[in-house]
Amino acid sequence: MRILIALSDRDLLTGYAALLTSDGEEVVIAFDGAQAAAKLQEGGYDLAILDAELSRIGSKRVLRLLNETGVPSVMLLKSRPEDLPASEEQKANAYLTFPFFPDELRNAMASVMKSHDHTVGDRRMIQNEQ
Amino acid sequence: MNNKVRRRFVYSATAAIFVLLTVLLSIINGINFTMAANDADQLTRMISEDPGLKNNGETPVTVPGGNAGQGGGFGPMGPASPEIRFSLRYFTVSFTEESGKLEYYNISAVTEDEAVAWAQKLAGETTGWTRGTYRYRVYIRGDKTFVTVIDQGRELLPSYRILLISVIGGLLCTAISFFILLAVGKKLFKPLEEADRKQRQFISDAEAEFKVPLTVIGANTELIERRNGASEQTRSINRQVKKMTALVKRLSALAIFEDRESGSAVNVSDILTDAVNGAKQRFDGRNIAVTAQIEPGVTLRGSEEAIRGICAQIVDNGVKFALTDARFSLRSAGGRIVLEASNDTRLPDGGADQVFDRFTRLENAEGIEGDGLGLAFVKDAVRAGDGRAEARVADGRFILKISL
Repeated sequence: MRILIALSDRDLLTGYAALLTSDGEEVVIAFDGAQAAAKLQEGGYDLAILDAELSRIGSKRVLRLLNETGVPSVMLLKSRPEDLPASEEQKANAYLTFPFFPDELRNAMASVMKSHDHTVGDRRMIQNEQ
Repeated sequence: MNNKVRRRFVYSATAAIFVLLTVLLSIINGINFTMAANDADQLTRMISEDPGLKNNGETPVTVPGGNAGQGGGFGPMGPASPEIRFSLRYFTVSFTEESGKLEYYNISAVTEDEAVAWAQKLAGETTGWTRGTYRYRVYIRGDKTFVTVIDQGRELLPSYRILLISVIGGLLCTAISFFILLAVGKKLFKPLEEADRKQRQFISDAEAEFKVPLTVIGANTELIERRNGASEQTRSINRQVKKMTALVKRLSALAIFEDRESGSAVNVSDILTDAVNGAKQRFDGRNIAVTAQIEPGVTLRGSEEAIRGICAQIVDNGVKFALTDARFSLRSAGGRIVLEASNDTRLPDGGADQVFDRFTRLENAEGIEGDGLGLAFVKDAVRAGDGRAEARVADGRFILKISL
């Protein structure tokens, strides 16, 4: 899986980048929202992991870009998801609140990919039928 | 601090003012009526000593507290005047064994026959009030019993007026106090609310600052274990990270639970059922009989996360410390919900509220994992939601009771 990780905390970013690389994933990192948006232009991502405090370009704009490009996302939060007002285009596929363990993130990623595969599969079926 | 606390203050302060006014005005009116009764007794005593209140022209009438032979004297025990024989309305009836006789009659509201019949009814008494505003005295002279009844209606009128004014004034003052407290309550509480908000913000900020570092430590520890293998040190780091993570999550839940007014109705029955089923699976190897009597559809306004935390902690605790069985029950009672957890134990009978103290573990906790904080946070969360938490040991069972 090719994963884009955009986190505002450098230690968190490098730690999870190393961990997911160690899991066998292909990881691309971004230190702020602008970098994340630029990386997204390259395309080819299966999943994005970002937090709510990206600088330069805010997380909501990055989420909108992800939704436009159809890349599923997991957002990492310090507060509850319901405390984060967002329109439909600015919503992530899953939310995980700090603090969490690596396995919790893996479970969230797996859950997002599973439901994303269903959605993509359903779309393909509809296209084929048409 | 929320509207509930402010409202409670207003109601309590108003109730206190009402009680104070009631006591004060009761004392004033009590003294007033007692003095009126004393004045009336003075008059009946006076009549008993000088039945006709007649001045025989040579011997001036001695009136208690007044100046003999002079008009307008006011003695220490009440008003007294030589003119009193003209203003006092009274009658005196004497009784022998055979009959009653009207001795003196200076009243128009009562007929002579009525006076005799009335006095006959009072003959067995000593002194007191009759028919509301009439004061009577029964006394014996020689072989006759005398009953004197005087009309004190006019004299009591000011006292009744004062009583009515007291009641109306007291209620009015209470109502005015209530509205003043309501009006200024917000301003009064503002500094306290501001201090409370700052304290919560500080706790929230401090707690938030722990979140990311804990996540980083957890991730890096796993990386170290992957590269270098697990060690006692990395396992120790993981344990401490788990403890601190649980602590931070409980702090979050506590903060959320304090803000119950903004919460939605949460199905506690379902949450407790999930917690019990989860505990049965987690402690499957321990042969503990776990039973639950959960009333369906019990709901509570608040944070689902916080309520899940409370239920999970109580259930885990109950099963963890059980010898052979743990029981859980949930019911609604009088607008509140009551959650009870009990497990068999070797602890001695008695109160066990110390389990709610931070870092306190009872003697049965030896060898069982825990940090002594779980039930402390349950109590804090329950208190934040205006609830009660109690613990005791009775007949070999540790019983925990939460009321919310």
